[in-house]
Amino acid sequence: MRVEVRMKLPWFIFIVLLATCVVIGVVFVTPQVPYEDVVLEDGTTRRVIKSKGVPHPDFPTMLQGGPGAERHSTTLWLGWAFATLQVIFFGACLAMGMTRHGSLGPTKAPILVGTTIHAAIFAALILAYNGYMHGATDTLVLGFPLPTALMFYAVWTFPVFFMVLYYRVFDSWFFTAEDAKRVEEIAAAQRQMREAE
Amino acid sequence: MEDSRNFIVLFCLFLYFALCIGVGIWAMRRTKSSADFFMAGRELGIIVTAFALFSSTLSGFGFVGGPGLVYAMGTTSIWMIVCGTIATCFSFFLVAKRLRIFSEVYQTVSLPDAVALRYGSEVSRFLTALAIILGVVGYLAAQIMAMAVVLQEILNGVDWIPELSLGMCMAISCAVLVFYCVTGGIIAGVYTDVVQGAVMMAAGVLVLFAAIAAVDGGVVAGVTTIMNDDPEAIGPWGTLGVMGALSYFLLFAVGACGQPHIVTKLMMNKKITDFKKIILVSTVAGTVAAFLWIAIGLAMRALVVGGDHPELGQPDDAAYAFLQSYAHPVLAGIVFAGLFAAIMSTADGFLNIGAAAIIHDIPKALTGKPLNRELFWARVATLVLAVFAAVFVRFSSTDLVALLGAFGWGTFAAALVPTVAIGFNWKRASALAANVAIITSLTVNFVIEIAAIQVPHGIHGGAIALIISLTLFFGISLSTQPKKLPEDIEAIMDL
Repeated sequence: MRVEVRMKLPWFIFIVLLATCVVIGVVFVTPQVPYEDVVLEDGTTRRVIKSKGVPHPDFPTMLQGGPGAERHSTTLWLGWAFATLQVIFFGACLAMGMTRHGSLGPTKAPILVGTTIHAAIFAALILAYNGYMHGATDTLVLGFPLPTALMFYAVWTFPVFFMVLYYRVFDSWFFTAEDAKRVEEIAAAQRQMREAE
Repeated sequence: MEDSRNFIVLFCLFLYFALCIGVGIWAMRRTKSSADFFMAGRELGIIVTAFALFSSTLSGFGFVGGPGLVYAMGTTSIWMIVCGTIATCFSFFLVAKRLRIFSEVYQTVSLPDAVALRYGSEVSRFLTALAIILGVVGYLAAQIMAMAVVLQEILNGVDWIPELSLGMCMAISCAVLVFYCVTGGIIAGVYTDVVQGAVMMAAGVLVLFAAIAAVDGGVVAGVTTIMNDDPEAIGPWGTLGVMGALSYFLLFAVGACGQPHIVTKLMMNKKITDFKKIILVSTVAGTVAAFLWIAIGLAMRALVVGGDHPELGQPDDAAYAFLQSYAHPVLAGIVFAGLFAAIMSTADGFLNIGAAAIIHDIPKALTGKPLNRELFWARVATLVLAVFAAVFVRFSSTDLVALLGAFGWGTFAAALVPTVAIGFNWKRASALAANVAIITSLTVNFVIEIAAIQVPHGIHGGAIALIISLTLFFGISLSTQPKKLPEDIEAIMDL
């Protein structure tokens, strides 16, 4: 188990990063819709992309998103893949921080469960938005449309789970009394070396 | 009424400036060495460290630019806020313990110090210091400009004060900033951060209630007004769309632990075991302060769209317009003081790490030893850096300042996340990988910003740089033979 975590976790993160690069690469070649080809004074045309927001017709200092279903027709599921890879990357990095002598010890299951729930929250957000962009805008949850409520109340708050884990395993696993003693020993040795110099 | 409102705002600001100067004088007596000047003697308690962390993160951008972005783009920029909890986890799981141990064992006074020791490379130290200086100049310039603009608005709103130029307002605000940074170093910085953090928290809570009261019908009515105008604006991605919003999430969630002015503060607390409490205090405080960003932005968008408030001249006016029109004068005074607090707490952190890079890290990387009389030169460098940034911002085009300000976060994130967050937790990470990651991130960020490349689907250029630098860092480290680490570094990496 120890060897596995030590050897495999960085490779796993590397693969997740490569997969993220692939998703971003696909996004780069995915058409941006809607758009409008505007004919300029010199006769040439310029493509105006409208998928990233357009000026508000009445209030020019604001942007409007426009038709959600149309502009996300090519990117919503790529967005889901991007979000999922991000969450896996977060979980793997947190695991890297919790690894001691090649093992995750008591943090393995909570990090796995936490990362799975975090990914599920993003999946729920994407699914909720899929309904929202097709017109299911009637329901407000705690003051906001369902997908926005998920962003505020789940995406924002869920990582507290990892904080509680950090708090709980801090003394018993993350930085034990023996570790503190070891730091003092190394620091004392370094101090002696500096004084000798 | 308008006169008395402006007077109250000015009075709150005056009180705040006086407090900063007082803290500077108090901290001067406690600053006896360069370790005190840069590391606060590694004596900070839980509350001070926690508040210093979150108040440095939430800069003037959070108070002015943040609400402006929500007003203009809807919920898109809120992803920069909701990532705060996972960003904090990143910093504490990956960076805090390891950096603090390096700081204690080797008496490091800067982030490049720790990087040089971890990788056994003066090139890595030099590149880290270079990335810090490039990011600091831009960030600092943007903060100084923000201070001057806000001070000018406030002073010119009071009848009996003669009209002041932007340059004069810049001089006044810089004088206060430089005074407490030069005299008290980071000790003054972190203790003013406590005041600044408390002001920001109070402002966050009070503004939330003021915003709910300002919109007739409260949150539901405001959200409905925005939704009826444009459902996307109040959808989860805002007007930018899914890929843009998620790229903000990645850049700000992962990037926070690469911000040198933030992670350096993780080297200053008294006890490593305090981290388990600091993470909780910092998260709660930061979340409360962030309400201001969201509440003002959404309220102003709803008020303008609903026809209850005239359209703003520009999005960045959102906070100012809200406070002038919908907040009690005392609340407006507190928030304006909070605004200055946010700007100054970020600026003082930048001044400090910039000075460390100039007088400690660059000389050490080039000559192998630090300067004599480091404390004296640290004070000189702080002064020179502030003056340089002020002159730079005064005589540069606004575009250039905005460009460098935007460049800052992405640069730090892409350059330092692999080197610091990953490299300090992975023995196999190599100096070559760290150096390539830093150079690549600087190049990609500069090319995207200077060439004004429009990344498709609204993806943030900094996120692209971050993904590339992380992938290269892992790829290079995995494809090269692992190097034997010195025994002491190996022992620390095992902890």
